[in-house]
Amino acid sequence: MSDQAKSLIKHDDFVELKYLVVVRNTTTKTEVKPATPITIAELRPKGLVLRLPASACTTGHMLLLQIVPKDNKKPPAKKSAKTHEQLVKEKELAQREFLAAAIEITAKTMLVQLTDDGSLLVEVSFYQFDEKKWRKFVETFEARQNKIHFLVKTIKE
Amino acid sequence: MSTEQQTDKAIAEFLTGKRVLLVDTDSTTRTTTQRMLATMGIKNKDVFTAWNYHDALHQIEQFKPEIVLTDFTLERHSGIELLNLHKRLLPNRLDTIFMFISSRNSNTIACLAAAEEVDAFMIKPFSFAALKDKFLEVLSAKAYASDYQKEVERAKFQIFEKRYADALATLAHARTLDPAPALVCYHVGMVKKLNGKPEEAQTLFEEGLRFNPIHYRCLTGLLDVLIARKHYEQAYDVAHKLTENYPIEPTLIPVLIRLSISSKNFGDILKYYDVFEDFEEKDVAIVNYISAGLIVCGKYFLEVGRTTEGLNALNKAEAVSERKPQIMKEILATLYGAGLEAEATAFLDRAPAEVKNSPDVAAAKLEKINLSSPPTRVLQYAMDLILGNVKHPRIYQIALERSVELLQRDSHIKQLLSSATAAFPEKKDLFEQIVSGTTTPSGSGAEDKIR
Repeated sequence: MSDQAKSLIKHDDFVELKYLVVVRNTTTKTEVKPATPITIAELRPKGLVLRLPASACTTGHMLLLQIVPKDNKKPPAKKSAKTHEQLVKEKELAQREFLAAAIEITAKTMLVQLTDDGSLLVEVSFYQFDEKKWRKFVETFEARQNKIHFLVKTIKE
Repeated sequence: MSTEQQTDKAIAEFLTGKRVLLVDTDSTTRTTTQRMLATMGIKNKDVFTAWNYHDALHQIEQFKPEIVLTDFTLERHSGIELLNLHKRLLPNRLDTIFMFISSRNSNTIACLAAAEEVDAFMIKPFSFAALKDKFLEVLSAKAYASDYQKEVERAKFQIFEKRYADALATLAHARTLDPAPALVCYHVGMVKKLNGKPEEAQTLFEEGLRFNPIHYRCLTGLLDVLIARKHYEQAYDVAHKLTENYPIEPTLIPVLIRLSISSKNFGDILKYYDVFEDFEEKDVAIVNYISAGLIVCGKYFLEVGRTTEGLNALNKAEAVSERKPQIMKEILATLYGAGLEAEATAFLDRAPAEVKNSPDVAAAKLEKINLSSPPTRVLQYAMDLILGNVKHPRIYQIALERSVELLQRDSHIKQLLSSATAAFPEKKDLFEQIVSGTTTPSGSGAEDKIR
């Protein structure tokens, strides 16, 4: 392949910004286990609007949120035959990686609304959170958004 | 009256009588968007909602809402399909707004939407303020379009209505309204291209690029014309310039693949697949274009006798499309067309019933028989298909050609022509030409359906 052709299709153009949200209701001491992934409906400076399954919480509950930024790349292929020890180590490593990447937030539900598809629209206000990590998360999406706005405007002109 | 009040007045005028369609499978996004629209003074009674692609399609056709805000991915469909329908039904784009609010956010998806003239592409998650600001920005751009923009839009509408002379006059006027009218050059170039004047089109795209050396539309227009004129080396350079400055738009992937073939850069092609294969989730629009590109690649390799590479490309098309019926049909047609009956049979064994029993596959088998069997056998096979209610224009075409060749009874030919025309009225002229003997019998019929 020529050097010129190498750049015709660029890997990074296909990368999607994604995230995973894990929620624990610390008031009821239950894990929120959704049938479909939990999504963020709205970003706020020190809060969020989340889509949660019905009966996940009510107004005034405290939630522990773990938000993990990710992308749409395939995880590296794993070796098939493994010892029990290797499996345990891998699980521990994955857990450590998850915690290192996760933004942990303690939040209070301020408003809970039932939507027309039976899920809950939950407004939360942050109590305790790593502001730097949260800012970085928001800025990553803002940067992608700005690039896309620029692209749409440039192509239209 | 203050400037702000005047702005509000113009925007209120723009919104007067307009209907809005919100399309999103996520009810929370619909709720936030509806709240934003309410702050803009849009009444609830003017806002329709759709939960899925088919519902949205129906509502756009029925109510023709001027404003559409939709997710990009709608089950196995792309919001681009809705945008194209919206553009067809409401071609005056200064009077409409089409915005994606998308859970997909790759640069390549955004580029695809931008190339299709979407007004804005919001990615999820977003803040309420960001959504409102963007909507207001789009609204203001429409309500306060410059004279230049208005003239360009008027010309686009005239092109849409095939009033090319009017469009050229409008564009000539628009040219006087902007010191760097690259967009005017692009549209004049497109009119020339539509009128079968590729050399003049090329000159105009090049002129546009003198005003703006990286003007997206002039670059894509020039790329198309250079490929059509078989100036592959120049086209390769333009493709390079395009992809250096913009993310790859998925519709260009098959074009780049054909270009790689034409410019003899064969090694590039399967690498394109490898780049894409690295991703866990794939967008349906990109999947379609990559699959189509791989089929082009497979066809080329099979045609030049590089069978292993050809089969490899087709296998990759099958894998990447996750056995999408339309792609499977194309692959089968390619295998039959190349005379690879054993491979086609093996492929057919693992194909879903929808593919096995499809008219496309029956037509592909007939193409193969048409190449290798005596005319009587071809006609018998084609007639069996027609009597079995398998309808495909190629089946009728081959049946008519062989009937004429074998000097079948007039009554048989008349009846066949009548049922062919009833099934495919858009092909009436072709069928009649076959019967009247004014067209030469087709060969393999292996025209590139992707092109």
